[in-house]
Amino acid sequence: MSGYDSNNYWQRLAASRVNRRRALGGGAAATSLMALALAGCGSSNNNGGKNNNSGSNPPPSTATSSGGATTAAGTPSGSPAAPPTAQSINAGSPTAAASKVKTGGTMTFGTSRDVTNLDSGKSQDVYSAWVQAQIVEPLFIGTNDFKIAGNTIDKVENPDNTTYLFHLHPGIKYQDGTDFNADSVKWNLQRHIDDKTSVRTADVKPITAMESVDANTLKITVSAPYAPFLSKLTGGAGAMYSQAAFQKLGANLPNDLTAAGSGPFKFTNWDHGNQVVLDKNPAYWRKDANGIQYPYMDKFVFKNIPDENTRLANLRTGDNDWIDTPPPKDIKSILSNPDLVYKQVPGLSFSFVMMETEKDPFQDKRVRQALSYAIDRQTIVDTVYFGTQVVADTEIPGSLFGSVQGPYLKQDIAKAKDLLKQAGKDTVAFSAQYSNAAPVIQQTFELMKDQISPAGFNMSLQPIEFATLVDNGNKGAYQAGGLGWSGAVDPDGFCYQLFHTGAGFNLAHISDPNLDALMDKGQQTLDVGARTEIYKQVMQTLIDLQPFIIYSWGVYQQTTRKNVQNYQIGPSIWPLMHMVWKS
Amino acid sequence: MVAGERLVPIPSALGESALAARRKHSLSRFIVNHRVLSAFIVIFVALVLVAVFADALATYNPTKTAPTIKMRSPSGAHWLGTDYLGRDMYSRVIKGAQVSMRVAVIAVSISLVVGVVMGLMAGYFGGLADLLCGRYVDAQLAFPGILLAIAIVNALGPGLYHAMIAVGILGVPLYFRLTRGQVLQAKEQEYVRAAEVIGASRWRIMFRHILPNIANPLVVAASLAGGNAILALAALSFLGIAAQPPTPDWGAMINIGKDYLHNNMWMAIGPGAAIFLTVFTYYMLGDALRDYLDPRLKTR
Repeated sequence: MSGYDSNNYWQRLAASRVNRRRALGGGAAATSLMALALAGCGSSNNNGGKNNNSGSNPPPSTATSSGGATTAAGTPSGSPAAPPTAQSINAGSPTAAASKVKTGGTMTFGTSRDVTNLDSGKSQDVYSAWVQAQIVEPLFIGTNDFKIAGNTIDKVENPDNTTYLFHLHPGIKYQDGTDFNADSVKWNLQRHIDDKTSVRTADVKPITAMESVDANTLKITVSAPYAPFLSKLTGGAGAMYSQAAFQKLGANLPNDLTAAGSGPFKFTNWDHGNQVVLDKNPAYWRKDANGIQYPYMDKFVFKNIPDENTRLANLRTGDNDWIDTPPPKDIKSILSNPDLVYKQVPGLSFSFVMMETEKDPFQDKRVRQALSYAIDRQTIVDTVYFGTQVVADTEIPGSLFGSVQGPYLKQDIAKAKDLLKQAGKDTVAFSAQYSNAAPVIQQTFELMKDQISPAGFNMSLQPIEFATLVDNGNKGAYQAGGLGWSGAVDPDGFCYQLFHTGAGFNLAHISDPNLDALMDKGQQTLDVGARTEIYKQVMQTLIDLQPFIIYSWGVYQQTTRKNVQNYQIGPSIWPLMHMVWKS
Repeated sequence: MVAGERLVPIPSALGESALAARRKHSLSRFIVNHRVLSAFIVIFVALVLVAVFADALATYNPTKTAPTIKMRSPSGAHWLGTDYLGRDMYSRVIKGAQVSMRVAVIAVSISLVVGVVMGLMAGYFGGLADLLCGRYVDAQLAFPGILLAIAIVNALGPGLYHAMIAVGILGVPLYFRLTRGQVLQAKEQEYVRAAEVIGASRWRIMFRHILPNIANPLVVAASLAGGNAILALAALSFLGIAAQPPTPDWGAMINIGKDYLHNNMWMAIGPGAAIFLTVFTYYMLGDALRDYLDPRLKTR
């Protein structure tokens, strides 16, 4: 893309109706990522003794009310300047005039994967998060403009750099009738601290003390300044469970969330492999601006339809009201269908080629750089993703602070050859593993194979199961591989877990003291300006080291029937759906 | 061999030209008498030639991507259109014939060799050999074929050659049972008794005396099984565990093509038609061969 300007591009993308050219492309990005992304909420428990901060990234959070009425409680810096009020977030869409809102009915949402686990301390995928968010709503949410806002928290104060005062929205009750209060929040956070098998442990690791100041005020002390703290509470670590319900559910928690949270919907049942059914929580604590009780829908069904074409067919026939990640090749036909509405916004994900940096042939960073130069990213995005993803060569997307642009955007075979020569190689043969479940990833690698061949790379393709791929990544049992990553509303979520020595998702097994120090400093610095500079340095270091070759940033896409109203689409994977209705 | 007797003219004192005339006469008579068989032999030979000379017949490199011309409909330049990466579908289908034919030959050979050897031993030796082979085949047949193939490929690791082995193993029971049954009949025949009497070794009797005499049904079965092997491989490739990208394989092409039926149906039609034609040819050829070789159906 000539004249590439990431920020402009993202703004245009965010603001716009999708024009035809962009529309033609994009679904794939999301398709691949939604289907295959490691949710940035890693898993420490899978990595055994590793010093990872699994769990960490809050799955980027939610699409909430329209209007972006969210005065962000603090930018992701963790120094919340203008605390949001719950109302500001939840006042309902200005577009949803009371007279027009039709309450009741069933919303069927066709998803590409089934839920894996309903315990937010165990699940790592967006599909589980979507369901959990409706029942055990989180303390904070990530807004569509990549900020963090309170959800059940009205206000956050920072008396000093290591102390947080959470002012809870008063009067909220869990679905089992118990109170949502400071003690309850404390218990919830403590559970992740105590339970070392929780994938959220790393998110709350810096907490050294918690004290209930009063029923609705919780004082939290962290060991050192920890900038990404609030962003960690937009996802799984911030999901609040009733202690009584939690204990009653016991070992059944992964499969059952009956009366567990304070969210707009109640858990009814989960027919594994088929669907999750949620019913309205009539006692939900929010009302819209016109006094109408949220949620608008009586029932919400998350129907698992793995095949993207079947999913779309179900939407076309009206069996589904809403689907995630439409096939990119079909976006053109969706746009021309008067019964369907397609929306996309910038996401927080990226697609990448990872390389095992401890083994030949990618031990030498010049070989990694050569491969990065040899890839024609624009053609991949245009051909496989039909243009809707954003061509990229660094981790942090243009919409977040700390983003920079690298030198790899344009394919440069001569430079690639030169680098290989410097590394003492004329040709490099390697195999690339990728998930066999995502057509777009396969197409990307088929295309890439041809693209990099003139530079001297001979890549053999090895499609395998997603779980094996991640396992091989952890064990270093691969040379190169293809995956996606869903980041967070904080730049930390795009690097620490992936590139810090010993981190949970350091699949490239990169270890660089300078990089580690920079990322540590980024976590401990609270000033946004200073952090911006730090993360720019992190990105520059990664551009040089190239443990991952980033080729695109994702967009978040959804397609609904025309009668689905007021749904918000955002980068978050913890979207609340209380304000959605059907005309 | 019965077939040989028909096709080979009886040596005589006739001159060379008369012999050639007789030969020609025999061929034309054969074609007239066996129109279906002749037709499918021709089609089959044509398919084999396509497979052998696939590289020469392909108009483009079947794995070379050309993103700027992706998903084109058939045209003069691309007879079957192009796929999602701009690769020429005609060239991929032609190259796919090579992959499929190779699978048919190798997989059927595996089935044939293993099944026939087991069948010969079980039928001729009886006793423990019969018991072990028989139980093994019973056990294998307890598994649904394609599931067993999937399990084998997953155990060995996805790949075309592993898929060939899996498909080969699937065919073993057919040849085993066929061979064993034939051997049980044949070993009571006088020519076997005679061979035993003159002191021929057991292996010689099995392979030099019995096997040639029970070959006809095996040839028919092999022909039918070729079609089955191609179908089984297509199924495994469709599931993504046989031919690996970017190898042009019909099953894999249909797997991707089915997703594009609304966008460019040619991506599925080309390989679909190729599978249909090839498997149909195998079946018809097998059927015609059976009619031709089965002595009970002789009309002469």
